[in-house]
Order: sequence, then C-alpha cells, then structure tokens
Amino acid sequence: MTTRRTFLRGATTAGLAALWPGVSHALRANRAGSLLVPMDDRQADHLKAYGLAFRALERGEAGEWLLNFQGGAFLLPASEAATRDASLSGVTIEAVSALDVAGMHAEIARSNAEAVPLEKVPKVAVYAPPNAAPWDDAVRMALNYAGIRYDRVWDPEVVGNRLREWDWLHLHHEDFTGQFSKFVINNAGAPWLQQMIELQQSTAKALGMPSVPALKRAVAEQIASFVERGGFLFAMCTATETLDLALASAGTDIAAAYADGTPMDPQATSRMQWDRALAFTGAVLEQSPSMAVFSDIDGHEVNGANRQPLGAFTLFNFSAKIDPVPSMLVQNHRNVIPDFYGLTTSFRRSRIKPGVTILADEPGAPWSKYIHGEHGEGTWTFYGGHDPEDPQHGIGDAPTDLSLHPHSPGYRLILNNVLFPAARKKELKT
Amino acid sequence: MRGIWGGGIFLLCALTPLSAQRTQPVVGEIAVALSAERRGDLPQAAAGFLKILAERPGDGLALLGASRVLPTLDRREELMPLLGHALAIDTANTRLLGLAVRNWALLGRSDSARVYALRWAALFAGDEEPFREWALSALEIRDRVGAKAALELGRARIDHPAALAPELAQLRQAEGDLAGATDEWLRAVSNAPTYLPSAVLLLGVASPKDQSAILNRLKERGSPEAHRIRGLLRVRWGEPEEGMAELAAVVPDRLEGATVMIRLALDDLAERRDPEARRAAARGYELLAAKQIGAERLQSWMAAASAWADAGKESEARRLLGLISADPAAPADVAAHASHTLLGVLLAEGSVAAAESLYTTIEPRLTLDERDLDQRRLAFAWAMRADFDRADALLERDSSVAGFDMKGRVRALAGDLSLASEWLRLAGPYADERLAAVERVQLLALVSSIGRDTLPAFGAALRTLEAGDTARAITGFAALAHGLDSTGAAAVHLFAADLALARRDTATAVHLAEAASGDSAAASAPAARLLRARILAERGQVAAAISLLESVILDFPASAVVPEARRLRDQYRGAVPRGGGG
Repeated sequence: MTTRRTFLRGATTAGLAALWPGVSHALRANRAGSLLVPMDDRQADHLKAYGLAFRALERGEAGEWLLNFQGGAFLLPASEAATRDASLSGVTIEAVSALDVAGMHAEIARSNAEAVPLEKVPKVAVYAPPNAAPWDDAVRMALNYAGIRYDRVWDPEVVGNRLREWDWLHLHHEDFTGQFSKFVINNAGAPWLQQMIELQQSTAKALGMPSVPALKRAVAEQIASFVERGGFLFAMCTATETLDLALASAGTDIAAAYADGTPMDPQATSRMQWDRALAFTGAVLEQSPSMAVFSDIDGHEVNGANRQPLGAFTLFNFSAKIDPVPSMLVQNHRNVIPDFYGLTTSFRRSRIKPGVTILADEPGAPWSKYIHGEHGEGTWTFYGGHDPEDPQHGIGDAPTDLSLHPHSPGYRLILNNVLFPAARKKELKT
Repeated sequence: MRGIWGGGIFLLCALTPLSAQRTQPVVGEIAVALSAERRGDLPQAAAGFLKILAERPGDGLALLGASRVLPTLDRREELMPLLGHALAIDTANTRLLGLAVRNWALLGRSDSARVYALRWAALFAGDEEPFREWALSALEIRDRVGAKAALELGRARIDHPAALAPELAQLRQAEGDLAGATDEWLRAVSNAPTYLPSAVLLLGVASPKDQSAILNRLKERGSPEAHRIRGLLRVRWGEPEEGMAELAAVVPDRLEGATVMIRLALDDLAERRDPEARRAAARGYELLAAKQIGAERLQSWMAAASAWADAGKESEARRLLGLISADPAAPADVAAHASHTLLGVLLAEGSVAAAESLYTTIEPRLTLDERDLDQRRLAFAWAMRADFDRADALLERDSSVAGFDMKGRVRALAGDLSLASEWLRLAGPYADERLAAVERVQLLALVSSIGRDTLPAFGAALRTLEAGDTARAITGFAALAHGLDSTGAAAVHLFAADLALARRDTATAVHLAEAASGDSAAASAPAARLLRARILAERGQVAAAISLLESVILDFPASAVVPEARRLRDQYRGAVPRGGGG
C-alpha cells in the first residue's frame, strides 16, 4: 500500500525538476511523443479524462499531472492504446512533440504550476451496502462514468480488518451513528427504509454486534485505523460528519432509541471525545430523533429548522510547487462552483479543528465545503453535499446521468481525489 | 425516543413565584446567582441558590435555579433534600411536585418518584400528568421499566379506559407487543380522534412481517375507529384502493375529522403516479368533495377529475368536469379550467367535433396559453382524422415555436414532406421540452432524407403510428421504402427498425436493419450499425453490442451518430443509468 509517507519520500526527481527543469523533464519526456490531455475549456469530457489517465497507468504508461497548467492537464506517453481509448471515450487529446513538452515544462517552471509524476495505480475501494445501486452515490457514479475500476467493501470486510488491501477508500452517505440517517420516523413505512433497517440489523447480528450503532462505531474505528496506517480516505455527504461523531462518541450513547433500544444520552454533547475525531471538534449534537440533522457541524441543515439556502463555493488557489497535495485536490477548469445539498452539506468553520486545510468555502458564509487533513500516516478529504449535479437531491429522485454533465466541476473534485494517490509528490516545503 | 414521546411538561419554564417567597423578596441575592448562571459560572450560581435556600427553603426562584444548575454540575442528588424541605412548607404545590417526580425519576429512583407522583395525583383526580411526567423522565435515562411502571400505575389509578393510551401504545410497540400497541392506539383514537395521525404514523413503521397482525387485530375490533386506522394503514402499505374503500365506509360526520382522515390517505398517495394509486386518490378527493361546499368542493372535484384522467378513466373525469362546468357557483377561472381539462378528455376519447364545439364555447374565457394549446390539440386531432384543412385553419394565426412544430407535424401527417421540413426547421432544435425537441429533430431528419416533396403513404403510416398501431405502421413504412432511392429507403427502414426494436420485436428489427444496410449508402452505415448494436443489446449480447458501437466510433469518427454510440456504450457498460438522463 502506498502511504502518504512513502510518496512524500519519493522526491528526488521531482525535487530536481524544480531547480533544473530542462534536464529532468526532458528525461521524462524523452519518448516518441506525448499526448496532452487538456483540462481547460478545450476538453470535451473532463470526467472521462481522469479515466483515460487512470487506464494509462494501469497499462504501465506513467504520465504527469500538470498542476495549474491548462486546467490541470495530463501528459501521457503517446500510445496506440491511449489514442484509441481517448477516441472511444470522447476525450480530447493533442499529440505533442518532445520539444512541445520541453516548452510546457519551462512554462510550468516559471509559473505557479508543477508537473507531478503519476506512477502507481491506486487500489480503490468504495464502502457501500451490497444492495446499493450505483446511482445514489456520487463517487460510484463518477468512477463508473470515468471507467475507473474499484472494489466494493462493506461492514464485513471493514470489521474483518481487510481495508489494508486498498490504498483509497471512499465513503458516501453512510450514517456512522447507526441511526439509519435519522429517516426512521419521518419516512416510516417506506419499503426502502424497511429494507435498509433489516439489512443493517441483520449485518450487525451476523457480525456479533449488539446493535447497528455499535457496529457502525466499530467500522468507524477501523476506517480511522486505515487512515492512520497510511490510507487515503475520501468522504462525502453525511459520512463526513457521522464518521467523526461515531469516533468521538466512544462510550457515549448518541443514537436514538429506534436504533439501539435506548434513547440518546442527554449529556452526550458534553461527553464527546473530540481528540478521537479526524476533522471536527466541539459540536453540539441534535437531540431530536425525528430531525434528520446530526449536529451543528453542518452549516446548511437541509432537513433542519435552520435550513440555509445554497450559494456557490470557491476553490482556494494553492502554490503548486509548495503545496502540491492541496493543489492536486483543487485542480479544476472552474474556480467557483454552485453548491449542492446533502444530509451534510457543509462544515461550519467554528467546528473544524485547527490545522485542517480548507480547500473550498463560500466567501462570507460561516462554513467550508471541502477540507483536507492528515491523520497518522494517511490523509482524509471531506466534501460536503450529496450530488454535485443534483443540488436539491431528494430520496427517489431520478439518477444523475453524467453523460449529460461531462464538464461537471463539482464531480472533478471527486476524481482529483481518486487520482491523487497515484501521484508521487515531492517533499512539502511547508 | 424522546421525540416520539413528545409533549412532556416543562415545569422549569413556569417561573411563577411560590407562596413562600411572596412576602420575602430576595432580589439582590437571586440577581447575583442568576447573573452567574447567565455568565455560565454554574458553580457560583449553584452556591448562590443554595445559600438562599439555606435561609429560605421555600424560595421558588432559588429552587428553580438550583434545579437547573445542579443537574448540569452532576449534583442532582443535592437537589432532592431541598425539594423535600420546600414541599414540607408548600405541600400542595404542583410545580414542586413535578420537579420532585422528574428528578427522582432521573436519578433512577422509581420508588421515590412513585411516592411524589401519587401525592400529586391525589390533588387532581383523573390527571394523567403526574404519571406522564414520571414516565417521560424515566425514559430520558432509558429506564423503560420505570416508564412502564409509571404508565401502568396511571392507567390503574385513573378511571378511564383511554388514560395514557398514546404513551402506552408507544411503549407496547417498543416492546414488540404490536397487538397491545394496536389496542392502545384504538383506545386513544376512540377517546380523542385527533390521535388518528399519530396512530397511523407510529403503527405505520411496523415491518412488513408485522403488518398483517396489526391489520387482523383492527379487523377483529371492527369499530369505525378501527376501520379508519386500518384503511389508512392499507393505503400506506400498498393497498390504496382497498384502503380507500374501507375508509369510504367510515368517513366521520364532522368535516374536520373527515378532512383529516382523507388528507392523511391522500398525502400518502401524493408521490405515486401509478393507475391504482391515482384511482384511489380520485376516490379520496370525491369523498372529500362530498363533505365540502363552494370553492373547496370544486377544487376537490378538479383534483378528482385530474386523478381519474391520469388513471385512464376518462368517463369518470368527464362526469366530474361536467359537474364543475355546470355549477353556477363556480368562479369563471375554475369553470374555464375544468372545461379546458374536459376538452382534453374528449379528445382522448376521440370526440373531436364535440371537443371543438366545447372549445368554441369556452374560448373567450381561456387564457392565451390555454387557447393556443387547445387549438394545437384540436388541429392535431383533425389531422389524425385526415381533415388537414380544418387543422391548418386552427393553426393559421399561431406563430409560436410550438405552433410551427404542430404545423410541421400536421403537414407530415398529410404526407406533404416539403412543407413539413420547412415548418419543423422553423421550429428549430432547441425550444420546448427536450424530449419534444428531440422528436422534432428526428422527424425533420427523416422527412428530409426521403427526398420527395409529397408522399401520402408516409403520412398514412405516420397517422397509423400516432394512433398507436405500431405494428401496422411498421408494415406501412417498410412498404413505402421500396419506392424510394437508397438514401430515403435506408432512412425509412432504419426508422421502422427503431420502432420494431422499441416494441421488442427484434426479428422484424433485424430484418429492417439488414434492409437498411443493404440500401446503404455510406451515410446510413453508422446509423445502421448503431441500430444493430441496440438489437444485440436487446437480445442480451451486450459485449457484442459494445464491440459494434466501438466500431462505429472508431470507423466513423465524424458521423453524427458517434455521440449516441458513446452514450449507448456507456449505458451498456453500466457507466450511466440505462434510459436515464432523458
């Protein structure tokens, strides 16, 4: 498994590049020619371009990610397979000569840009219940659309300590407090809810857990250990908030009676151990079992009394040479992106731990949208909201068809995370 | 669980001075303690309240302050002797008794909570509040045994069969005693019909395997209330028509009760568009209308008519719309809207002359949009009957995009391909809803590629298709293709093959697709290959279909069908939802 530490150590070539770009880049680009995959407005299908780069890596065709250059372009070795793949996928590519590549590298060297080698194919796992269709999970939709292979894992694999088999783990709208997303009271009788509850309860029983909240807390602990050992975690929607709530609630009952037979501890807020959480601290828990809000971490509270309207969030501009990791995570052809709701839409800044990197926020609003941090040897990235192209997403809505949104800047952020573990980054200077 | 048990009393909010303090104002000391509490300095606040209480045990403000602050400091035990002293002074103070019950229960001391609850209950015979307070407080610390004891003692002490029934119902349900919960809800609803929504909401969460037990229990009980709950549950649990029929027999006499019951059922049906649910909704609206008068009744009739029409029951819709149109009390806009809907129903029935006659009558009352829409609907209906002059006359003054679109369609139905192309081109590819625009462009592409100015056989086949007889239309298109040049024949064959595939007649689709390939001219080759790929996918040969689509993309990179080929490839590979995005 690649860990944050190992890819930070592999720094020599790229480090030299910053000092003497002509030599090292020319060495890397000394091929019969290269294919430039522009990621600015010339690109016909931004999302599939990530799949093109991923599959090139799978074929052993190591490339480069040109951060802050033409929208975060990719440079791949020219090959018949890549050309065919691009044609089938409808991805825009441009054949470039070694001289062109040297010119690009020179431009990168003198601007706020960086060329990051893409070398290793990350092993990707998505945490999803066995009966979940892919169309209600933005990451699975993005991976399927881009054509990036992944494995599915769920509670048995996680509790069975098998996460070490993967480099990258994604969580979507799982409720790690084990309260079935707090839909139980307001969606009573809905077949999908009954099915969800029965599946979760039978899984908890099969794994020897006394309740679903107990199972989900055990799963959350395993996921935190995965990151601590060097894994890459990406979470969206309510998985972000509830993962931290589950981690911080060790020894405290934060689940409603319908989940574990006993009501939430009325003193739960004061008993949370936030040092165990990844991203958040000091949150006040929502006591009502019928309100599909977990805490005051979420600034928007889509199902709460204080629901906030959607605005737009702005990606931060990082120094590609000094901060390649956050730079990779924000590569995009758009800087301002329309916001979208989720059971957890955003992260109130007052609840984010010091030291967490804010990747995107809504100017003037008290919340952030996209955050990143480290835990042990690994890293985590949290992205609020459910589906970037379905801003008002509701249960039972028609699935999003990404072929209608091939340029989605919101989905690009997801795919940046998928490719990020493939990169070998030079040592951070900050 | 606390939310389900909502409705608890909040004694701490009632800061009325107690009798012991009225003669001894302590503004200075209490102000200091309250100020400390507001600052969040709870230890100092507690010290202040305790100091006052040491001097004046009956001081109400200080006691309430202590009851807020001490539990937060995890010093609830210290509160109890203070409450004891205060109650020794003011023995019949229900606020103090409530505090005592609550705090003893929160300490897990059911025996003491019981003593104070009984003392409180003795002051007000028949009051449920002491037992409810005890039960709710016990549940806050997850003491279900204590809660059960409280509620059962209350039931035993209060001489009423429905005493604490909603609380007991939820307790029984939490214990898995569904029969007991059902009986308790029945008692609650019989005693107070306003509990009907709560009963349905909470019984409604029962798992599918428990649902029949609940329904059977309600059937055994047989009272009107039992049938009301049962009918609503059946609507909720997937038997909308049966449930609505059961409700129809037990509609409460009073409008308010009837409205609550029927609206509950209609709310459950609101998200469902299938005919069964729409029929049930139509019956529900009619039940509601039967209880209403004036504008409310007209609205319910309109909703019922709309639901009947959605369910394909035009005659039922007509009956109601006729009632609305004929109602002299109906406001002009409601009557016009009903007539407009009725016109649609008449057209769906094929009564075009009657529809036009109705249109002539109501035209002055219609909005401009409604008038244009009705004219287009009538024009299309006449064109379908091959009366193209009447159709053209209705559209004569319509210069909207939708009007151009309809003129093009009417000309296509007449087999006048040259004019059809002209009007469809004027309508353009973007306006209207996406699906309508796509259909228009497809029709334009087809009539343009046939290469004739007029072709009555095409119009006849198209009318057959619009009338819903796809099989005969396919035969008609295949027959007329023989007289066309290769490009036109390929286009018509492909169109017919597409129709055959849509009705899953793959044998005919293959035959027609082969004919299209045989006719083929290079221009239609990628489209023919695309169609063959769809046929392969329809037959389950997905890998072969993908391979064929890839050949379309790679061999004809400049073809207009390449985006569609990529899209189908994505669908077959599971990269996007099948049929989604439309």
